[in-house]
Amino acid sequence: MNHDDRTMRRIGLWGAPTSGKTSFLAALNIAVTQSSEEWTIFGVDDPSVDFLVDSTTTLTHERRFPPATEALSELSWILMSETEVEIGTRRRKETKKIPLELHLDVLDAPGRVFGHKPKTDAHQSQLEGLGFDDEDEGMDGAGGGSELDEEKLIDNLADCDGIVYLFDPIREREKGDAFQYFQRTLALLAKRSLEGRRLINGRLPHHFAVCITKFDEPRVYQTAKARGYITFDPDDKHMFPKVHPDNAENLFEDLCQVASAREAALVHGSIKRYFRPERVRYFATSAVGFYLAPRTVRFRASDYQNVVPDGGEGYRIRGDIHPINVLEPLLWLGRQLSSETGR
Amino acid sequence: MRSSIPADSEEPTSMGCPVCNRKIETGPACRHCGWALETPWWFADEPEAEQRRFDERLARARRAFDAVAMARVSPIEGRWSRCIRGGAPDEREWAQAVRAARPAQRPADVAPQEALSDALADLGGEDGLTVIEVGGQGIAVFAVSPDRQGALRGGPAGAPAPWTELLPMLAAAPEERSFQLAGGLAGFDHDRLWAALETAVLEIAGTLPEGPTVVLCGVPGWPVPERAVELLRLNRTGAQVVRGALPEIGGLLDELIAAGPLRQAYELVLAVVDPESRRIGLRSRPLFSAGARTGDEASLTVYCAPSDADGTVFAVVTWKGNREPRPLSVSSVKLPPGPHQVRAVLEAAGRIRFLEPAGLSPDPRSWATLVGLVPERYDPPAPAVDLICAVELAGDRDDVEARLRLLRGLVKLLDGEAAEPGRLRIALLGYGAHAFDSRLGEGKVVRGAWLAPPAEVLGSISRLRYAGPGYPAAAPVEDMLVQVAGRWRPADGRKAVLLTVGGRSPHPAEAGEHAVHPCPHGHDWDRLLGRLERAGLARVAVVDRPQGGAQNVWPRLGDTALHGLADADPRQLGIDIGVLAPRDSRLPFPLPTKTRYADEP
Repeated sequence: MNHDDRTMRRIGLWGAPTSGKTSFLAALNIAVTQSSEEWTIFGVDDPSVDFLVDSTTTLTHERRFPPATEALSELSWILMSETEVEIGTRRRKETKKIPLELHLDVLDAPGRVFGHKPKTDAHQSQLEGLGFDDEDEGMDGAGGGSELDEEKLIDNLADCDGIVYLFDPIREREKGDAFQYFQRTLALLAKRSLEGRRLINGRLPHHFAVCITKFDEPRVYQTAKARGYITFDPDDKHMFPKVHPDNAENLFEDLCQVASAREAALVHGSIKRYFRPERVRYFATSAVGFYLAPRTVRFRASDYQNVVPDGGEGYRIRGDIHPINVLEPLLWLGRQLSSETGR
Repeated sequence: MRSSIPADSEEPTSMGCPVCNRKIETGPACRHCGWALETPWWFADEPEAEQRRFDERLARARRAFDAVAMARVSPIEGRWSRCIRGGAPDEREWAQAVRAARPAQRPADVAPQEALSDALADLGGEDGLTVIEVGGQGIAVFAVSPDRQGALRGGPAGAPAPWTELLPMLAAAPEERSFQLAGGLAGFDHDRLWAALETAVLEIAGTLPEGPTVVLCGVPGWPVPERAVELLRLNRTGAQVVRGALPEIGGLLDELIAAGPLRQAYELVLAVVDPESRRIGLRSRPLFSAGARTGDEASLTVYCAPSDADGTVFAVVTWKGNREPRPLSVSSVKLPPGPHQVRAVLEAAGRIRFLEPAGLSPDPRSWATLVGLVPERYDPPAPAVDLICAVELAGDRDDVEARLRLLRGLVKLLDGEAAEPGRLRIALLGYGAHAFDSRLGEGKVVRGAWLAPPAEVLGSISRLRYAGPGYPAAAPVEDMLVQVAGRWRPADGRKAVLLTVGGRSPHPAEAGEHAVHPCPHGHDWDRLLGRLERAGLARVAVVDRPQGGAQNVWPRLGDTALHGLADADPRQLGIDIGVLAPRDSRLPFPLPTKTRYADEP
């Protein structure tokens, strides 16, 4: 491939219901704006543009979380930037900036498509009791997605070059259903890849960015803090805490240990089993980030929560939005894919 | 044994004195009227003339004799009475009769009023007095005796006995009968008359109780009544005889009794608390001492502890010995706890009127019932209280309204029952919710008014506003505590109580593993509350619903008492706070103190 060619890679955003896909996308626009790197994001069509504008407005102006969108899977965005890739021979290597375009799709529109199929009505009612119906995607009723939906999802996943997988540790702690959403889809994806001879050494070819969401939530932040995973970026004037990617997988593991069903640990095992280790990276992310009190510049560990119960069923945002590791997974995927292209 | 007056003569003759008709005894003259009964023999020169002079002398003697009796009855008009034998006396004769009719003045004689007054004053605790009035109409007996409270009560002892019953031989016509009583007895057989009189008088005397007696002779010098008086004197040991014009004796006795000094102290019943054991005993303190007189006024200050709905009982008693109080007057009135002036006037013996406190009305309950209401122990409410009412204004609207309603009810109740000026001061702190919105800022989350009289606080409560649903898992209890810790200072003699009415626990000082947001001001409720606890701030709380969790402050906020909102009762809160007395510690009787509560012996 000619390096001068535009590189269009397809990224899929995947996650269980209420894992924060809508918020992630809304925060992505803000993260792009706040990024020191020159990123731009476009909607591929009017609805996608409208979603981006509306959800960002909701997040920043109304300080509320954007409502779940049923038609999320029909929306697409393109992130454009430049990335440096190595070129040249083994003896003489050079780097060159090349345009990077990431086509971002949400893969889960009806979130339950990711889940395994309920086997009986009784099982279904039990699942509903566990909260399957109160997620943010506004599902239309009874049971999991149809076989057609599942087929479509597997097709979409198979077509992606990279996947951003959102893992909500709070939901996992309370419901412990991540593995349900994960295992069947992954098995089908592996089967599809096998059939298409896309497996690389028996592993899926995808680059896989695991985003541990809600890093700002006390139980996640405190776990990271207690385990000593917190670092600070000296260049960050707010000194927001972060988890270095080298420790993020450990945080993921730790959070899986305290999940209620303890099936979350199986998710970690599945990732290891299905994906090539060098193509997997973990990120501790937060769509809204930590709270920064007015007239203060630096993060205060004594009062950092930026999400407040609104007195009803929902939540609202207390202060300004400072997304953490929202753009970074895409940036990482972009670089990975670009490097791959460059090779 | 009866005593009787000797008859006219040990050996009476069949003849009587031609003047007075008393039996003629040996001797030259009648010893009653002085008529010469014996003269030496002489030869009359003119027998007719001598006879005529004798008749005239006898007629004059008879006239003079009767005139004296008539002058006793009527010193002016009596002169022309037909009762006088021999016609109306001339002026000189009448003047002599009037002079002779005057009773002999005795130096020791005292006026009847004075004598009766003294006799009443001399009565001992259980003694009665018999007053026998002997007058122109007959004999009347009056009895004076102490009633149950020791007050004297007087009145006629039976119907008066008229002379017509006592001595039926006397004339029916009043004028003539009076003439006879006053000495016009020439027409009577004296022995029979005196015998009849003695029988009648002794019969009366025989019915009378033993004890001090005053015999009043309203017609001094009248022979028949005087003889009755003398019979009574002889037959009543120690009887005092008093002579003189008498008013109506029943009325006079009432007046004298009413005006007389109290024979026993009238005492107000008080509850006295043993300072060590707090046990209650009933005592009494003199309101009117013995010797007090009608019109006297007495006052003392008592402390009315909280009472039941029937109020505080003001009971005046006398004592029979030292064992048994005899209620003289029992009345009650609902009064606010606090010192009260008691003022009473002695209207009459046995009759007291309270001038203060106003509104007293007779209490129909029996003495045993009242005594049965006295609790065994008395733990007094705090003498002075600073109550800090903190109320959460956020959350469910119905809950907030219920909290405010409870507070309003409490303050109204305390305003009514702890109205003693300065005794109770109330601060009001309404706390809403932290905004947790950087654009709005936190602003004031605690509003209210510091210590003020209860009546003012009612107005402050009405100014508190619902603060919306607020933060679901916590409320700015810690900001409220900052206000309390910053404003309240312990004061000697004043109990301080924090009453918190809310639903949610405080925000933690710092973010932790819990999801609850820390106080944006960084206030540490645990440290603040600890400081207040160490400073001696008592704590009563009402929480919407029981709760748990690390930030569950309610057991500490409700250290003295913790109630659920649905069950909270203003009166019970008032008791918990220490302003109102517990139900089993209400006192029906006042305490003998002015400003303190219980422990004066």
